[in-house]
Amino acid sequence: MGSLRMTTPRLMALRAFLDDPGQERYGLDLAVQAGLEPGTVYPILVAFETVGWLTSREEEIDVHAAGRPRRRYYQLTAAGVTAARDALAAAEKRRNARAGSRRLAW
Amino acid sequence: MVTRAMPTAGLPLLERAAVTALARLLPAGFRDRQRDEWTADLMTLASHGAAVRWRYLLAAMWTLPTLRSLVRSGRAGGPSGAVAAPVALALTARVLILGLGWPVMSWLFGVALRYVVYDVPARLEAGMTFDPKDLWPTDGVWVALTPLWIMLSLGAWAAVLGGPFLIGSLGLVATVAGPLRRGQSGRQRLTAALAGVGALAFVVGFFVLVGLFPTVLAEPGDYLISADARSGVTVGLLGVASIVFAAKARALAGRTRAALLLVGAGAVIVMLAHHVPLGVSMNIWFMD
Repeated sequence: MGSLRMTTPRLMALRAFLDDPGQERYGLDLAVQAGLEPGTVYPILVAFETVGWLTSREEEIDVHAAGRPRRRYYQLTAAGVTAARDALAAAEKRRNARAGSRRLAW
Repeated sequence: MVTRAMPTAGLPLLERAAVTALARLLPAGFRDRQRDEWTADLMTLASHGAAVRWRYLLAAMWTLPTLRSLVRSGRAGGPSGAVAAPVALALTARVLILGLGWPVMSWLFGVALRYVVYDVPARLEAGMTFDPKDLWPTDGVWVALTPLWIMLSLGAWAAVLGGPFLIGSLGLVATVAGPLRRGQSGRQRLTAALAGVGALAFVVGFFVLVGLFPTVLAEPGDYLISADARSGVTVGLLGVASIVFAAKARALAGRTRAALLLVGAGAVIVMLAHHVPLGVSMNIWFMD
């Protein structure tokens, strides 16, 4: 299981996934829920999938009947849930530490 | 390059062209997947106006280098399930794994393993009262295993005789299993089926020609078949091809490449068995 450098958009995506860890989401749906710019979400999803935090599957539809291509649904793995919680906790800790150091400076 | 057919009629021409252009900049094994995701998103955003969709496309363009780099690094050895192999590549792998794997595994289990487990040489020396290769349960519920026995026997014969029989095995798999693979367009399924039928037609044609012109072709036909049965050249070549394919086709999933390697190694063993006394004895016992 790999690790990732955490950026604000990645943390936003993880927070959205953790709102309901068992739910499968497609890219646009997740971007909207996370408050990300639609269109920027796929590098985040691929990064998470590459380190095993997400699994994905192709939607099972008749593309001609649906009139659009298949979507890909993403879901947190068990390791992904743990990693996401750890990453958010670490980010929260850093933010608190920064806030604390500012208070000391004042 | 094989691309998947997809309905994009709802997307304006310029946006469709932009999606295609962006997708072309991604690694081949990932291209179709990402193009579908972008297209589906843009179609969902159809009612939001062109400005929203172009903003989406600009954001996708902005993050494209990151996406490309992630996909490439994932392919280079990360634990990625993100890269889907192109359909033609995956189909070729499937035909090799099943079409070559069937004869190879049949030979390994149906000929070599039985020869060793039943200690056939000792039985032959002792004046074998029954032949172990005739041992197969057919009473009562065991009759359900008959298809397995047929599969093992046909597969082993193809491995031992090689040549047109192996081509037939590949053709049969391409015809039956090729079109059933998920994630293909109708055209790709048809292509797989036609390739399989073509291989089968070649084999049938070979035997029909030999049968029609026995005075001219029987001798060279028999020579071709018996030469391959002696040397195992076809199974060896297919095994090497399978190993090279596993090494080179990096867009394939790790387990697919591992299966190709195993089948390839098995095929090389079958070929070598045609050249060592023990293997030759096994084959003679099986054919006898």
